[in-house]
Amino acid sequence: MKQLLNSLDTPSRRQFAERCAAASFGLSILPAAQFAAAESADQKPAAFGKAKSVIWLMLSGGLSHIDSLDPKQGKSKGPAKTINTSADFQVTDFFPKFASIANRVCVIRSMEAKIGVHAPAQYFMRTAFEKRGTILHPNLGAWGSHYLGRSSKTLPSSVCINRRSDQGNGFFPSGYAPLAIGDPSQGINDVESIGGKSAARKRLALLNGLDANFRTKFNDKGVNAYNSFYDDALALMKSQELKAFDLSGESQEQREAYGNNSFGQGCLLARRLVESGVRFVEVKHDGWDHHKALADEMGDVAPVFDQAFATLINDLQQRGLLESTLVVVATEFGRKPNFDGDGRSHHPVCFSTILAGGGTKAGFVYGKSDEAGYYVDDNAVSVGAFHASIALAAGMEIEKPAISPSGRPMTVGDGEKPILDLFV
Amino acid sequence: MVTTTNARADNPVNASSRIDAIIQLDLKKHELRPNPPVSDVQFVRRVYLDLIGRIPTDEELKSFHDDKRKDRRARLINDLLESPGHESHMFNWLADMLRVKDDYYRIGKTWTFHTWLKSQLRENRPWDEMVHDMLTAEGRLGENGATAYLLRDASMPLDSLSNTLTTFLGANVACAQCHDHPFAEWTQRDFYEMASFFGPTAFERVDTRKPAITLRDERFSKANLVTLLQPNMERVVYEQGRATEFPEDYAYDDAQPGEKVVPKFITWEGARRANVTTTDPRHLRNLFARWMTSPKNPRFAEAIANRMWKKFFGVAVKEPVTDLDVLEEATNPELLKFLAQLMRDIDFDLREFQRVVLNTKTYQQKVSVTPPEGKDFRFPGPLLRRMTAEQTWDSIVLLLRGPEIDRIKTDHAPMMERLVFPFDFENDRKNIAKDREKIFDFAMTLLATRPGKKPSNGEGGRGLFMGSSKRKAKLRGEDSWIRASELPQPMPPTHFLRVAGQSAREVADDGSTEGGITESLAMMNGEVMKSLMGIASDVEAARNKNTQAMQITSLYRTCLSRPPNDQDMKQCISALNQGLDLGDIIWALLNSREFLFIQ
Repeated sequence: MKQLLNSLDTPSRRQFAERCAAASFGLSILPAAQFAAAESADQKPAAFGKAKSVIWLMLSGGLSHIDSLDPKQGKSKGPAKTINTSADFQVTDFFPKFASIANRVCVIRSMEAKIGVHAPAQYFMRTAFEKRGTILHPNLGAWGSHYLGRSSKTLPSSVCINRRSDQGNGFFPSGYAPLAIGDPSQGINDVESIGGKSAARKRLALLNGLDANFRTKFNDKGVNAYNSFYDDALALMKSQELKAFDLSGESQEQREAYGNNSFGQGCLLARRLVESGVRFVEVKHDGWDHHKALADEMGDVAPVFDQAFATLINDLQQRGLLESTLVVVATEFGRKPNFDGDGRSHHPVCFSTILAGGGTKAGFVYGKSDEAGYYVDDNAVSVGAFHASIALAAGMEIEKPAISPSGRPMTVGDGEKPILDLFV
Repeated sequence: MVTTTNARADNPVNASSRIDAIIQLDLKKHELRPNPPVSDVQFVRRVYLDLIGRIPTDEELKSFHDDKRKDRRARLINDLLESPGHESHMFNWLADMLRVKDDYYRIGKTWTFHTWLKSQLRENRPWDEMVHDMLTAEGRLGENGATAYLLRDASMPLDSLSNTLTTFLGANVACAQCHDHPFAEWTQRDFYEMASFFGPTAFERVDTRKPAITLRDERFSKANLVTLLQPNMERVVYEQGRATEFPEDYAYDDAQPGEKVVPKFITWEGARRANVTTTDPRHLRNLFARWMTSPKNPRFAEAIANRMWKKFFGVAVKEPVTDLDVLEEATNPELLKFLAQLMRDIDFDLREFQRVVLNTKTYQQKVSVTPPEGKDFRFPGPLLRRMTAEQTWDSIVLLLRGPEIDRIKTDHAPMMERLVFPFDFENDRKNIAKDREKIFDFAMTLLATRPGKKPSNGEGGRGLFMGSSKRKAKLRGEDSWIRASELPQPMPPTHFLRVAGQSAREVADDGSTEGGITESLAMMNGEVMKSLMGIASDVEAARNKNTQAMQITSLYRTCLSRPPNDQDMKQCISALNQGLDLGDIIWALLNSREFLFIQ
């Protein structure tokens, strides 16, 4: 075997070794635990594993960095004023509440990407891979399930709020897909069986009996995924922790503090879920694509985000959860410095994101854009490095790749390295 | 090289056989075999779903199985293609492709577009003519529903072009907005030269709140006027002196930022590029539309043929359907070439195309399971597919309500059309004040003919002219038991349709059949299932049967389109004797994989 190994070139050798390991373990994807014994005592950075949970807030449409977290003077300046914050950096007055908790967050002003079209750029921001052909890539929630297993006995490990569950499990098993909540105020619907438990049991037995032939006849990826969804749904119905999904368990003031809208209530639900052991929660917020009437439209969406985000940070802090919860604010790209008085178009080569909690530096700005806000000047952060950093904080041993069903080694962040400077 | 498929209305059989021959050859080359033929029982369910988007009724099954003619399958295909259900099903398919929504941001309702699309489908308008009309549409949204196509990406002409090229030509140009395309031949310059065909066309989103503020007085409030103005002010028009320019950050040497772009068509495979000499804005747009929809265009026929093939086989000849840059990379380039030529030969008649494809042996073979990732599917038959969200909902609604659902049509377009001012007006937010009296006189006549109580002086808010609260389809209960094509587009995120994977219509081709926990919970425990188990018409029909066996058979036929076998019968009777009822059997049948996946 050694001779055979030496005759292959390096990437093939690695693949070959991985495939042998896979064959001998009888698995197509190696859980991290298998490596732990073989590894020498590698020193992990201090940041490793600080975050038990990740809350991923996705601002959909393209957050204008210059009109929010990276204000500029001169030609690029937008309609907003620049204001001081509780940290030593400034933001625009579209984010006044953010300004008060700036000393708890880390702003990245040097995000750098290439894709300027919404759907592929959102896919890229969620997965750190470009969508090509028919391969689907996992989000960080699915990666977390791969490296770390279930985060809760009965609750899902990954949830997404205000959107569907695609851009979720990728090539991982369908059980790693996030559970989708369409409306956080409604929480999780339909968890009570019809007509009581005894009837439900008999019914289920009948279903499995009648459908058995079909399921055996068709050993199909789609059919099998459904089998697993039904199993997971049934397990979830029995969970004692379903009340985590029920916002009526919160006081009126608390609900109002987050804001009476799907994003605010989504953030509140996310807090409840991570409290109950859900590892990864995404909350989507639409409406950031300001080609025209930027001042008006930011006026609509910015306060919603501002209020919800500041409340979330404060809330996590008060509950002692901020250290172990990494809050991420992501967007698919920024917006052009060229402001014609009306709007700005898409701009992927330089934009801003936020990290808070989970061991990240507080009151900190990482990276710089140039004077116009056009290019990154210093300390560029690729989407891959962004993912790798979050994965590191979440305790994922990303240097050990997963193997996709077609035999390809896949790494979080497409192999980019985490940025340790983001962390304490 | 195939120059004709000999596919004419009187001779479609040849085209179907040729498709089979091409696939047989390919299968043989790869040492594969075609799947065995599909049974009649499986065929009828499959073809109902594939052509009219719902499962067949008990009567429809009987009618097919009682028909002893040799060509009964071909006749069924013909009948279904002409039936009202086909229009509904095709609408869903187009709605997913074109991101059809009831409301476009700040533009308001787009019902005139839905009605236009449905009329095109009803008349079996050729695809090239439909697309041509969408690309060249002019005028007010309230008057010309086809303008909604461009207005979908109002104020974003580059995104609009990108979507157009991707949807109709499979030209993967999205990246070329910002830089030279990393893989294909498109440069950023190419992209701008294409965009400039639309240079003089204005399809801007007008925020009618501002003109409404200008116009309002004690008679009509801002809220009243916002919706009145939308069908009038949202428009596609030509603007003098408007043109496309190279962007400020254009980084290549071949043009200056800010320089006016001269229109030029993109080409494939190194063909020579013709110069465009016209400057007439209407002519420019027509040129673009003609170029795009021409049988000579090397991708237009390919793109629609490829998409339609995917519709019936679960996977396209070239995946993904949005990338036809390199045709040779199709799993079967010969097949794609033939299908495209067929589409040209039949002059883009979509029903005829479907007739040819569904009459192939290949379509009428048993399904295959999803091949492992990375392996090409070579069409030994169709793929086993999950029903789309719309097929699932429409089948459920059929069970709840019966086949009358095919004739229940929603058409809100007249509500928009009646708001169109029968005169020109200052389409400008400040100058519109000049036409206040003309507009308000017209508005008064609208109110005079409005049914119900006449509100006065600013009452009625945004619904004053549209009567929205009454017209909105109820989202729960029996009023919502209509086909997906007749419901609001799309439904809200927690409605069964969305939970089952209907697209949010923000991204093209975004309908999903993946499933998830939320959907499984809805099917097992949700409102829809409660209705199905209780008062549904199919349960009633079954209950009226005399024996348990007949009741069970009735349910199997209506839910799974087949009779129960002995095993099925034994298990069901045993269940009934253990205290379960017919509703519980329905629960089991509808939660089965067999119900949801199309054999």
